[in-house]
Amino acid sequence: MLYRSGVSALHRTGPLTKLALVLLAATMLPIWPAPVLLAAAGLALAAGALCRIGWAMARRLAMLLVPVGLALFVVHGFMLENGPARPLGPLDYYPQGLARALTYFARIALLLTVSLLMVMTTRVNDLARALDQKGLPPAAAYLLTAPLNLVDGIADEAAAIRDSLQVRGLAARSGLRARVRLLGAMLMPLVRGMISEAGTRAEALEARGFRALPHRSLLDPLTETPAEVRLRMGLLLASGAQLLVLAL
Amino acid sequence: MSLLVRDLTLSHPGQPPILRGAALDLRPGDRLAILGGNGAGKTTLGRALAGLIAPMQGQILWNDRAWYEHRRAERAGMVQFVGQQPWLQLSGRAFTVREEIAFGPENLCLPRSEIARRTDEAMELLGLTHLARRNCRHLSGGETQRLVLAGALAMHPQLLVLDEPMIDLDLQTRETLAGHLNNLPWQMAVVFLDVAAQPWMRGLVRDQLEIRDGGLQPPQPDPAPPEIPVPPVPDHDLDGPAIRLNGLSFGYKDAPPLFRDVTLDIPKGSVTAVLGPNGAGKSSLLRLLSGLERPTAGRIDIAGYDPVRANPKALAAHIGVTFQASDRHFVQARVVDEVALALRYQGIAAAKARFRAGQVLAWMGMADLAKAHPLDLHAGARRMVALAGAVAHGPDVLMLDESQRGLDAAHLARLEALIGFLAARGAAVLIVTHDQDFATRVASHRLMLGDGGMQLAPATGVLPPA
Repeated sequence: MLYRSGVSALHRTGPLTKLALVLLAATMLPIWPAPVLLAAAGLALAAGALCRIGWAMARRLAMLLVPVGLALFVVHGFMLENGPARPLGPLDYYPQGLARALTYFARIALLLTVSLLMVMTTRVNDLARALDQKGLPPAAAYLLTAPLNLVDGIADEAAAIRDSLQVRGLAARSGLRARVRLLGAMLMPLVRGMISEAGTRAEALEARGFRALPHRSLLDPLTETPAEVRLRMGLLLASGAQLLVLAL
Repeated sequence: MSLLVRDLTLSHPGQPPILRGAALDLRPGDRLAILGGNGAGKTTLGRALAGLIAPMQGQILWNDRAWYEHRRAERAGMVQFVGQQPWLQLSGRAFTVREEIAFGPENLCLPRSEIARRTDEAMELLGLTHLARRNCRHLSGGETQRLVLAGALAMHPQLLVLDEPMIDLDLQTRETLAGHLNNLPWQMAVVFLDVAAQPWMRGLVRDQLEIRDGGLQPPQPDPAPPEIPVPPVPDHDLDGPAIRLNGLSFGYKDAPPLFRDVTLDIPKGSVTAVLGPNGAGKSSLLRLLSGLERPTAGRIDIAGYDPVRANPKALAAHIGVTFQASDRHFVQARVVDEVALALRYQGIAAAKARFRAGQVLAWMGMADLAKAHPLDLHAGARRMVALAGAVAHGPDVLMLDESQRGLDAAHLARLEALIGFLAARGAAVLIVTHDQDFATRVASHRLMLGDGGMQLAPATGVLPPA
């Protein structure tokens, strides 16, 4: 599960405000140089640490960014011709390629860090409720939040299939080759299982009146302080300004 | 509320009809049980009554009108269907129990006060009030079943269709839920679907019908279970233990230990009923024996292997496992391949493995299902496929987690014959079950779990409820 419970200020902040923060980060990407983007990512990680999710965030970021970063630096720095080459032992490397890899890496790092900060401090259903509250059609809110909900479902399904394969003799703990074989064996049943369950879930939603009306009412609407509304407006204005700079 | 069924014909896609020309009248306050063996068509009928599938022929009229003539919001307040897999019926939109129950009324755009009233009322009725703030994903099977039921009740349906509502519940929870069902509003009609009349139905169900010969008919006494021919068993060495636990300790992170320094032997040729209250660690014990969990201390010896250190392929040759939610563990697209999988992983050629799987399926009376997808079968057949996959390679230790659940008399007789046959061959069979009658019939030993310990004793007389 991506969400980590907590009582920090960021946990208490409304989902739409955090969504605006992600938008601000996204609009920064094409404008600012890599050091600024990396500094912003560092700030986001520090904010995560203040919310007591720093280690969990760092672990997930490492899992995602290390392979991506390695691939970027190897491909752009050593494999793709990009400006004049310089020798590095028996190899040639391209300084311009490395700079380009750094830019790409910084962009991915910032977007991932801010997105993780949001999803790890926001309950998915709160995000859906916030979208409902803004009058979005129920199906649209569902569509936007479904990928986050799917993460847990896929993890449960995958664990069940892995257990099933292991007790019948296929295991993942004996090296890379076995892991690849296991992944191959898991893929089809995972997809089939998810599709099969999706039908039942869709029926259950329809039976309970989901999408029967264009809007939903909420038992406990989310509340926002005026300061939070102002903060969100500020974030949106800053995002708009960056888009304007980009357009000019 | 009135529901009229006339000349109803239903079938599974591409198969002959399971119901032909059936008729049924439901009025406010009816409490009807519709019984039928595995694959008789109970779920299909229930889904048709709830408007989830259209009949091949005939009419189902809700308040004198066809389903599609009612507005969608109106339908949600007319019928609610609670199926056999409660975890699949959660909305996925709610974090807490209270939010999950409120999901349906929220969809109907009811005033907040009405949503709150319905939610609190449903929680009260099903004993969920103390769990109101609990994360829906952290509930037990029984609690999830009650939550789904509460979500359906909050819609204030005129008709409630419950498909084997107690299948995932232990004895105590069944009695509790039956008590709650007794408190449903009198004007609500309730249809219970089950394989046979159940003890909890006493005092709750007023009428019974049975799906028989393609129609809905008054129930007849259960026929005697069929005789299952069992192959002759050659002499086997039954000396020594099949499973040895030596100083076993285990617990999950941030939870009290389940087992503390347990030492015991489970003999070859025994059938052991693993008993204990919810949360005592019954399923966890099977996971430890299967190598899916690591003990925090101590050692397990199963057919000469330590599940933690053994090569999974070597261990798998000696164990067979069925899981509680067997549907989630199917990995092949054809029944015959699913049953042959353990043999294939042992390095047996595909043709030979399929031949052996075919033999097992034939013995189980499922030869004609060999090419079907496991998930396309009815619930009873799916359980039997999981069982066939666990025994096809002739394991020395067979571990069954609630394999008898939802089986009709014919399938149950086969399961019991199979357990007896494997035990006679010298295999140790461990069964985790809440079914007291089943455990009493098949178990030679009982293994009581609780307070961090395990006690193994010969089974004599009626086993206590789990």
